[in-house]
Amino acid sequence: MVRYSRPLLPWAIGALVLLLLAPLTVVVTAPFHAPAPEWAHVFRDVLPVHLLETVLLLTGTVLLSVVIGVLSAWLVAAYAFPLRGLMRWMLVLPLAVPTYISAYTYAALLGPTGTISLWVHDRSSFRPDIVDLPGLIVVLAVVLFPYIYLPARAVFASGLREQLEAARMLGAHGSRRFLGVAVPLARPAIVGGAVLVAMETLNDYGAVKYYGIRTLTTAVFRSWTGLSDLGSALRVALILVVLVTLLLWVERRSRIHRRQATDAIPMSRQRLTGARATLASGWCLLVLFFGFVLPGGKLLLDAATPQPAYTWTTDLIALRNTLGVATGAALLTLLIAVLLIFLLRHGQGSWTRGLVRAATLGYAIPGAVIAVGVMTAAGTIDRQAGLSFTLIGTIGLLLYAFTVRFLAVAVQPMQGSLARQHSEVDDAARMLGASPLRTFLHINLPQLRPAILAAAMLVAIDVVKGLPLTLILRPFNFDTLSTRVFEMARIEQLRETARPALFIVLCVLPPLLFLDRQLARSEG
Amino acid sequence: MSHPLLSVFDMHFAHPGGNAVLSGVSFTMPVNEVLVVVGASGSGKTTLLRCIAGLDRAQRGRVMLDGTLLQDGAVFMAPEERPVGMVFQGHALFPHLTVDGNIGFGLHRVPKAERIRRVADEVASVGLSGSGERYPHQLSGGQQQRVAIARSLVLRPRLLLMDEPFSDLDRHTRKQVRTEVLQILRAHGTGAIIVTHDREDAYHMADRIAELDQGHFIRIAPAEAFRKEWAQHPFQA
Repeated sequence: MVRYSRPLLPWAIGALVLLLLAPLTVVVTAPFHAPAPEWAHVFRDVLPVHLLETVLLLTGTVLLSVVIGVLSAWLVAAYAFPLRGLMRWMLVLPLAVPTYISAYTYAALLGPTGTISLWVHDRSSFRPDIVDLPGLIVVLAVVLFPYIYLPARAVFASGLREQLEAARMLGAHGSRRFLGVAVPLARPAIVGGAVLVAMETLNDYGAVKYYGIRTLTTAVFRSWTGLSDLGSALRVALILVVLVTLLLWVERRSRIHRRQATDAIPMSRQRLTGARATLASGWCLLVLFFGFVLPGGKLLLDAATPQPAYTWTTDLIALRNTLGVATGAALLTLLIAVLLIFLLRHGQGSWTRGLVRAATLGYAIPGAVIAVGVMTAAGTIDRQAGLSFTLIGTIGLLLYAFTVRFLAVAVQPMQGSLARQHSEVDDAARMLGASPLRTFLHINLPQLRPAILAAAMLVAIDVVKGLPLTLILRPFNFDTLSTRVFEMARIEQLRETARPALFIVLCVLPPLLFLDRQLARSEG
Repeated sequence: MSHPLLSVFDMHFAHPGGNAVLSGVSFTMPVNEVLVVVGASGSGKTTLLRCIAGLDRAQRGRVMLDGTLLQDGAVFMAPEERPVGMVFQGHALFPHLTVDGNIGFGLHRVPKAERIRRVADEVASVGLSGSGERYPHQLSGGQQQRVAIARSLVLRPRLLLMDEPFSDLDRHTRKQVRTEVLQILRAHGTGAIIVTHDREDAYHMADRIAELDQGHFIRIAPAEAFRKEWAQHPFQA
């Protein structure tokens, strides 16, 4: 394919990438520029227990999510049973419930003073209490498992037909085909999903804070707001970055010498009857119940319960703010993503890929880490320019932070769609006299429309759900739905969280279902 | 003549909402025979194999193998229960397993010592001794083909189904593998149905040749009859 570049373009894109990498650079170089007076105390007394509980929470959540996600995906992809068609898309619904909202509703039901706990206690000496580490592992796993369910379902449904049929012809029954062929071959997809679950777990602040679990993310907040030591917060954030790098390394290793999605022919599903069919339907219903119906139902009930002192105004303002921030962040992120995609298609050499990869690193970094990096960088610029808080606490800074964090979410679907466009078409346009920009705008971009729409929705969903980043960087007196929910839960007004939480779920549901439909179409 | 190895009677198959792919296919084949099915693309060759294997379920028809009923209106034996092997067009080797792992996959219920011995014998019989620890991506196309065949034959199926088994081999390798496959089939005493669109494959491998057109056989005859005809009309498809 003919490649082309203007001399200014690489510099402009390079500067943009540097800007996007600024927060991460601030964190990684923290030991060289940020004094940390409390670091000795944090390192000795805070870090060990926070690190230990982070590892325990990560391990438990990832393992349980893998079991739930992979088993559900296999049932839905490989078998026909009652309610399968419904379950195929309904099992995605837990993604509409942010982890912290699910955690609050479970605490309101099964916490020490939860509705169900008190009911059980009235009838026995036992009082259930889910507000601890094992409880949080279950709560997180039942809402995060779709990150594994979705890619595993895609591979099982249309990537392994020949191998699975070969296994059948060699006498392998269901469980052997599942464990001996399907799971090993889908391993890259499963590990990829598991890494996403791990990142979401590391990113969580609302749920771990409420359940009293001491993770590295809470250590960032504790060092910064509790000990007023930004330097120590940055150092803890650096440890989080190292942990994330380790996870990404594991994910990359799992793909070495592994081929998946060997064909694109949909798998023919085996019909289950009798007890097996009932078990399959029962499993999916159980997962759906705990992942979506129970927290969603609790939210609906609480939202419908009259609250005398309640006024809609605050929540409606939070809804407006949320939609505004989500729209702004999606537009800014898309604009930069399209620029990078243009660079990928028409830029020269391998450095373009490197630049794009560097610019999209933010998605791997927990929101709290990016927020601390952004805050430090903005504070430095403010001080250097002799301004008092011109950047800090602005919507612009919040949108910038969201762009840093979610650029990868926008770039990936576009990159995938672009890869399916034959380069000969570009060459034909160039041979007909079109410049690279014109080729991109008139040939490539129109074909990217579905991917751009999907990218916009993905970014918007993440922004609406996002908590730690908004919590740290929002302007003074500026509430979004997620911060409203967090603040209400912080002062134990769990019932009052229902309406803003329900708004979040309702905002996220339509784009989520749209995206699932797109994915299902590609599965055939 | 003793009872046939395979008898297929009045087999009908259509994809849901689609046109008929097989419409009333009937034939029998004796023990040890190599039957080659030829026909144009879309004539139903692969579907015929998949229905005999049980991977697709024919809407109508009866299939009997060696006196055992595999399928009729009331009975349907699952593919994993049928004493039938299948070699897929793309080989369908398991990329995460070695050559030994692939060949031993179907022997998981056999005691370990015996399994190792049978795998080693099979690896040797297809000329891959010393390659047992290699992965499929480390093998040539011809070697992958031999692993796919060995993997099916190690289970001693009564019948081997082969879907375009030589389609992605170059001319030289194709000739060599074809000869080897025939030797292996004869040595094991295994009957086979081979689907191909290539006359040369059919010419060299078949005891009988069946011509499939629009879902039914228009002719089944000894290979010699086809050979004579093709010699007179060498360019006709």
